[in-house]
Amino acid sequence: MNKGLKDRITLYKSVKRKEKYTGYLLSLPLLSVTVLVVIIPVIWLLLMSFTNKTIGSPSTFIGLANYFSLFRDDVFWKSVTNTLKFSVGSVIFQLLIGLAVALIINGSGIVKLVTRSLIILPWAIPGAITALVWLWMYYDINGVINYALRTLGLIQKDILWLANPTWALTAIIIVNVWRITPFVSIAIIAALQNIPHSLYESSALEGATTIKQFFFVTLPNLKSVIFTLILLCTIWSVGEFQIIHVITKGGPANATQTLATLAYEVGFRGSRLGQSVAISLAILPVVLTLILIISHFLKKAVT
Amino acid sequence: MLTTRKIIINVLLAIVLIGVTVTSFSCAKKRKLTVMYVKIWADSLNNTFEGICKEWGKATGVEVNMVQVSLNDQDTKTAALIESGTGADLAIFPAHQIAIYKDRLRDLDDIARELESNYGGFYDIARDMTFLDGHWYGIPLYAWSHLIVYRKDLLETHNLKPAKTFEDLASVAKKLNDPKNEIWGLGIGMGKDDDIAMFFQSLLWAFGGKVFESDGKTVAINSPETRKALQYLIDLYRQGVIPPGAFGWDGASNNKNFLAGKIAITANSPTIYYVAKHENPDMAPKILHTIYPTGPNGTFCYATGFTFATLKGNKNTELVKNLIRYIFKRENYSKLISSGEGSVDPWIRSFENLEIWKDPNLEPGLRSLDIMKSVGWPGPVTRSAAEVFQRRILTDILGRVINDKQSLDKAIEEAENKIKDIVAQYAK
Amino acid sequence: MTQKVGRFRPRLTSFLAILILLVFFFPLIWMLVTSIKPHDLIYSSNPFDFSHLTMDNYFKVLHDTSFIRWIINSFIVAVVSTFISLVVSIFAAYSFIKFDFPGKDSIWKGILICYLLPTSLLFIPLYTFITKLGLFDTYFALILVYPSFLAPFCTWLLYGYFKSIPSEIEEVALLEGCTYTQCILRIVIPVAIPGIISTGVLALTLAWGEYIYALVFINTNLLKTLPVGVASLEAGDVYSWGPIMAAAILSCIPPTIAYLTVQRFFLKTNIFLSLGR
Repeated sequence: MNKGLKDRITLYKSVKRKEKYTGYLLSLPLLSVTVLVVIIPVIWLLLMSFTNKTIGSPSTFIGLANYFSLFRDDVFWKSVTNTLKFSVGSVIFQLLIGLAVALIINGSGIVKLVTRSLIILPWAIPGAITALVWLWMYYDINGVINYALRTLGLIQKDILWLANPTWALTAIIIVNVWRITPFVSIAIIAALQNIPHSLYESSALEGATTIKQFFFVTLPNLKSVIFTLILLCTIWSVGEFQIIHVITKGGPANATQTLATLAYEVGFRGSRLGQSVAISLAILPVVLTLILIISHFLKKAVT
Repeated sequence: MLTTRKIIINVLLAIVLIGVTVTSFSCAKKRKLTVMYVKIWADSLNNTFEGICKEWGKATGVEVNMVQVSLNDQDTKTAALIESGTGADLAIFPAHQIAIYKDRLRDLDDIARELESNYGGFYDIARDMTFLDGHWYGIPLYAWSHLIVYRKDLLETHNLKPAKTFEDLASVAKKLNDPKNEIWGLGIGMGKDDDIAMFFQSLLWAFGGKVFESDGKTVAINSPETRKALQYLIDLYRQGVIPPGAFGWDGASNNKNFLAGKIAITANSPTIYYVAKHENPDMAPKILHTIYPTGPNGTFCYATGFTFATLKGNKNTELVKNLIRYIFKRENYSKLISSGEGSVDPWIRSFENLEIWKDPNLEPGLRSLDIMKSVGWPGPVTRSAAEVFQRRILTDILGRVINDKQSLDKAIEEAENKIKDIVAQYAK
Repeated sequence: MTQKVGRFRPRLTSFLAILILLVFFFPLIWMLVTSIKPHDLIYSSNPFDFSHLTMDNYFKVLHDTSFIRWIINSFIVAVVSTFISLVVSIFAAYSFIKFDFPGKDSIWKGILICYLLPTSLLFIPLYTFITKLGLFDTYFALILVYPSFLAPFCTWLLYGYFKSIPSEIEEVALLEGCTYTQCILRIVIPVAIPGIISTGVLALTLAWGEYIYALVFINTNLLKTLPVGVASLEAGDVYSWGPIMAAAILSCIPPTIAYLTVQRFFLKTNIFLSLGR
């Protein structure tokens, strides 16, 4: 009996070991790609942020001087607030509008089928092209958006989309929302279509109205999707560069300057790579803070 | 389905591998030279340039790889080139970057001296930007002119002449201003675009203001002259002579608006004229160019130009010099400048008699060469000066005052501190 | 399949669906409209002047630029890098689910953190890296680098998806003596095809639209990818709006075809489950 037990324990241990090795082995490709193409560059960037590296010159170690000068720079802090405004503003609307759209177009019928197939297109177009198209539409004189709004009588004077600080921020948030909402919608539609029909039937039997069904059947089952989407959308928004760079270039007077665009300006319109990298690395704490706040808030809302 | 997909992927991979092998094999046979150049807005110029290089390639048996970079992407591509030390044998980039990157560039003294003796010298401004510490780190290629562009027909209707001074310019703009009919007097951006950055720098110098002193380090921006220059534009904006949306304009906005007949005066390179001649023929005769107006301190024009350069470790220097020589042969360089139709001005002397200069609209570009000053003047070109200009620290003051309702004095002080900080950063 | 809301007042929601489509597609419609306008109408005061339309811009794009090459380049780079990323992700996601090994959580979190950094910065060290490897100005530069953001994305999606696959099938196979690799190849993948293809199409879209790496790592015009090529249709202060819009419309065609092809099962797979932190 004892021997049998010992044997089984040894077998179990060897299986567990084999599991471990296989686990490492199978995740090795992903690890190597990430280490090679992300972690090593990130470490290099981190080291560069501790130097005074400029383009075309050798660098010397200066410790945390780059970071200290950032903390004293009000354009940097403006960029931080802009990044937060841009991300939070974008993500909120992406989720709300995405959810609404998903609920509306997730039905039977040819119209909705066609809509569901085509709605992804704004997300599928390369960002560089989207940015150009919206720039073209936002032009103040003879831009189609202003012209259409005036023709419809909705506004008297042209909206200074790119010239007014508040409107400029709104303008880029609109583009960002336009671009990402389709992705949110299809993710939620996929989740909706995987909610078992029986849940709706049984709740209907218990006399639940459509609204009650939404809150007690649909929404709880969308929890995990929505959480994933919030994470993804936040990451995408905080790192967004192309749209802002093409449409406003951070203007007017730094009203739409975000960390990503500021890093580019300092590094390539100036030539201070060390400082530029420090600004970019500052994106990490911003994203992590946002994510932590959101998860905390959501966990509370769920319980 | 799995198998079909795998087959397709395998076929694709095979195609890619074959393609790469074939390309690398064919390249291994010939000598190869990569030329990276910034796309000028006159297509004919770009085509002529490529043509000249390819001609040379045929004659010498070298395979020439032309890499075209658009102006928007130029910062990134040039930075990558300088940092890595490879990517192009011969590069063309803005001349003020020579001062910044000269440590990584090979000196081209022999060919510069050769060209100077053939043609009687480069223009002073070109020399100032590329001849540093006793060596030629670049070969000046051409300047990009910036002029004041008028609606000639509107001037005639109002019985006005193009302005000789900035005061004049303001009054002419006010008289031509007709917002009821959607025509604004001075259609210049007030935001992050190139045109206002260049216009304002020229305006500032004309009023006696400057960013740096002659030592290139002392920040001299906080002065009554600077105040006057800024007030000039702020007043025009507040009087409704500059379109309200100007803060959001990019480099192409004033072009578009001029061609659409919405603005009477702007500051621009001869792009508008070029596009009008080719695509809006009714607008072309209505365009008049003049050089920059004069201020209390003189007449100035911000210099933008392009230069040849090659990297220090480059292995094809002899071929590069050969190619530069070929491009600067009289018939080739004449062809090049002429094909630009005024978009660029020669930076080497003795090309002032080309046919194109007979056009009264293009001749001001040639004359501007004598009033051009480089970024950082009266100090030398420095990294700080370049950063201040390219990040629009000065023109951002306009936005701070008008949009953010900051007082002018405080905004100038802010800018002064920013500039001092930048200087300190580069001194670290 | 149909949900309660969708069945709620079907006519109203169908009408709303059309409205939604129009609103979202307005920029695309405007792209189309601008692309068929001649130069003078593009610069005229009235954007709704459609008096004389032309297909000139399309000819200019297809004839005067290397547009077709750009599409082919984007296609090759996107397909190959997505394929690599999928392979890597399938194995990684499977291993994260099935096995418990020390450091698993930190590895996973570390990979996600790497996803947070913008490519507009990572390209600096990667540029030197690629140049030293001699891969500059080749497809391989992009194919090697794209998995850096595609693989975490795919792994993330597939992780949630694989979790939802019941494990009984594999356990039977394992008991019968399959190795883990065989198990993955013969059992898991065939079952997971819809999810894998859905993830693949999404990853393809990300690769298709990438700009910074494609701009910096590729010099030759003939090797440019689509976004870089279209953005290069500007020269200084002249944006060739007509050709840019024409190129933009043409760029919509491949993604539309791709999504229409997979839409059969695309929305039926739930690949967006969270990690359940």
